[in-house]
Amino acid sequence: MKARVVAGWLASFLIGLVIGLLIYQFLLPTPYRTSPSPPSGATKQETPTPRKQVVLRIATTTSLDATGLLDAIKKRFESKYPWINVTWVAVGTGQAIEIGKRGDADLVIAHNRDLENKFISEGFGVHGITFAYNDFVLLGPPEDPARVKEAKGAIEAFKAIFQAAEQGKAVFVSRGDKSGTHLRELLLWSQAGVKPAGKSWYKETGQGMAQTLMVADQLGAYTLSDRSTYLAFKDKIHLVILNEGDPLYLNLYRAILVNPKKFPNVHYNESLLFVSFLVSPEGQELIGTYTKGGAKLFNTCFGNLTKLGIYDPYEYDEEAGQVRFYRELLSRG
Amino acid sequence: MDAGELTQITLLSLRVSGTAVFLSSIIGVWLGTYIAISRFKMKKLVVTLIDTFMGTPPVLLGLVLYLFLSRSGPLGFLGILFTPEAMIIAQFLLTLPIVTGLTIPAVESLPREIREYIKSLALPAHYEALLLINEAKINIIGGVLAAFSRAVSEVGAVIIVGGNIRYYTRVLTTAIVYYTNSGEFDTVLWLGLVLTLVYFAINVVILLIRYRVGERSD
Amino acid sequence: MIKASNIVKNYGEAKVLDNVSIEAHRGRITVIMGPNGSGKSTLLRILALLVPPDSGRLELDNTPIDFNNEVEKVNLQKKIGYLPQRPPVLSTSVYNNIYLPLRLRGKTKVEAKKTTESILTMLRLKDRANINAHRLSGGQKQLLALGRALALNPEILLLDEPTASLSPNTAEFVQDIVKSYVREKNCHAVIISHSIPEARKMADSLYLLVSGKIKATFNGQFSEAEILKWI
Repeated sequence: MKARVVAGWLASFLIGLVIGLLIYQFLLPTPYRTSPSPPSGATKQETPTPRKQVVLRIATTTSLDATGLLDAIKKRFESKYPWINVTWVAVGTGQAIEIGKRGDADLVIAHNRDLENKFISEGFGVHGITFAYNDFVLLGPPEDPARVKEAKGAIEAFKAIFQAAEQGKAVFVSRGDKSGTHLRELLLWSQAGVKPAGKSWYKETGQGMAQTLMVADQLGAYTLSDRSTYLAFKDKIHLVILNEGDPLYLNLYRAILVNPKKFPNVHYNESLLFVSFLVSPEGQELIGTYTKGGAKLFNTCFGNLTKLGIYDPYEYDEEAGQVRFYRELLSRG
Repeated sequence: MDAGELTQITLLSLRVSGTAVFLSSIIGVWLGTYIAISRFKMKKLVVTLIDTFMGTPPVLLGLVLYLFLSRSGPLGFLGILFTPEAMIIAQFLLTLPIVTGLTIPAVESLPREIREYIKSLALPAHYEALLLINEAKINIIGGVLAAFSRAVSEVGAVIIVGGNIRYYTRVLTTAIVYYTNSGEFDTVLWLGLVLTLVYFAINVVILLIRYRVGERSD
Repeated sequence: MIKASNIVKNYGEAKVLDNVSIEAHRGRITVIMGPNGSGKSTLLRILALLVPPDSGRLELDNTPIDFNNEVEKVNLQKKIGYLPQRPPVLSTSVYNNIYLPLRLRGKTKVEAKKTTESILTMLRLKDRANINAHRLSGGQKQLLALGRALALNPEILLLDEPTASLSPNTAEFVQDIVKSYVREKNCHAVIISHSIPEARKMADSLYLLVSGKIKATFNGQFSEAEILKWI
């Protein structure tokens, strides 16, 4: 009989808990910020917020999100503009661009020139500007059966891997998820003039960079990775960098606003403020000195892409280029 | 990730799945009972359709709902994409066929005598349904809790329509995806532990309800 | 008056009811007896409008009953109090087993309460009013089901072996209740029984059903020997 009473109380307690949970959502001040220690300094600014709260929504990639750079930028940006809540959806590059094309985000930050150019030329994106870069590295087992170390450049390296793999001496692991890294890898294969698709030595994980590295490490395989993720895992895996530095390995980060003429609901002004911050001296310094796990993950390049051997008229045209647009925006303060 | 964020993520998971299943139960239990007691020409087809939808892949549901809620979609004006509300809608649609589909056999498997007796009382349909729901309540509750388990453990629908935005639309399952992707496996294990505890709690509740309700029957 | 004419019911190959015709009059108790498997329960279920016959007619007060007319069926079922063998109880308290059907049928709270309490008192179940009905003994469940049926004031009582699981005292008690109800309300009653003494006590008419056919009919008095001839 005692057990019955206990059961009765427990059941009532659990039901009360359920009802409480259903109700508590209505007692929250705002639907977000349920974290007890909100990360940005916005809460402590008791200065009367001049405008109503805006939620800025960025569509970006999982690899950029994983670096933690956006969290650092958010903190600094929100302390300057407390009425803006910076949020982002981190998905694959293809999906991020799709989200932008559908008007479900205010701006897109990606690192795939071809897709971004199409995004802009089709009228979905405006005022795109490259603000940072890092690079990819070709990783492989220390024994290097394909002799990638001797290759002069990315194309030769990929050709060497293909030949060795066809002879059964090497394996390649690909992300296979249409991410920025994956698309760059596909570009390099096609530049090398070979087709790995469907081969038994070509393994597509369909997953993020971390898991792909794990798989490649387990298989003692070659793989293409962004330098930041590699640096984060360097001590946990046996793979080493066998080829780097080729301009083909450059990974350029660009921020593009979603066209307000196509989607009037986007927060155009706030997006402009955000991107201006990215290319401002303060923002560039923040990005250039950002480290994770002791390693510097990004280099800045606002206004000096040409240094890397890339001339993009969209950005650098004297009259209509975006670099000029943002410089004027910044000087107006 | 600190304990505060873990709490926030857990509460959000419970809120999203709890609200969704609460709504789908209110509708699904009645709908299922009505279908069970009715005889109409297309009944077998309807039941088959419900059973089919019970197995909808959450990812597919998420994508279709995303297309509807997107700014470029028919319901874009609502602007609820990437909010917990969208996640609740997704899980509501996911669990509605489950609750309905499990209520139907719960009622249909009642002994013939009690079903006939209730029918012989010649009550209006909603009263007949009420009495039958009372008779079948153990199995119906089991169905509701099965739906809740499904909701709490799915990731495909909520990640697409919610966007897995930190502090806002990140729940236990999507957090597991995020931290797995970024390689922070020990955080993943903590999240997995909490998720398992939630399951355990659900099962304890099922046990208690069966005990309490069953005890009164004989 | 209820009249069933030429009722035929088959379950697959077996002919359960073969050209059966019976009558039941207001204020009089009709009893049906017969060996096991002779089709008695099926006949009662047909009279309760739960199962349609394969052929034959049912009439109430000279108006034929149309099995396909759902509305008519439902209206008639409201007047029928049917008790199957081992009747089910609702999964709720003894009190609610009588109270709920009354309320759901439209009686006010006050009326329902009064009726429930008087029936429970009559059945001597008042002290068990708040326990779950499933915890009653088989005999008490039968009493409860009967009380439930009578509470709704039926014009047609159809009882399938109502005293089967009752002790002799309680059985007699039930027989008295049924008899006085039928006389008081001037309603129809068709009762299936296996007990000859019970049949002799209660029946105004008696039908003997053997292998789906009516073998004998008695109106008024009859002796045990006459019945035993057939079963």
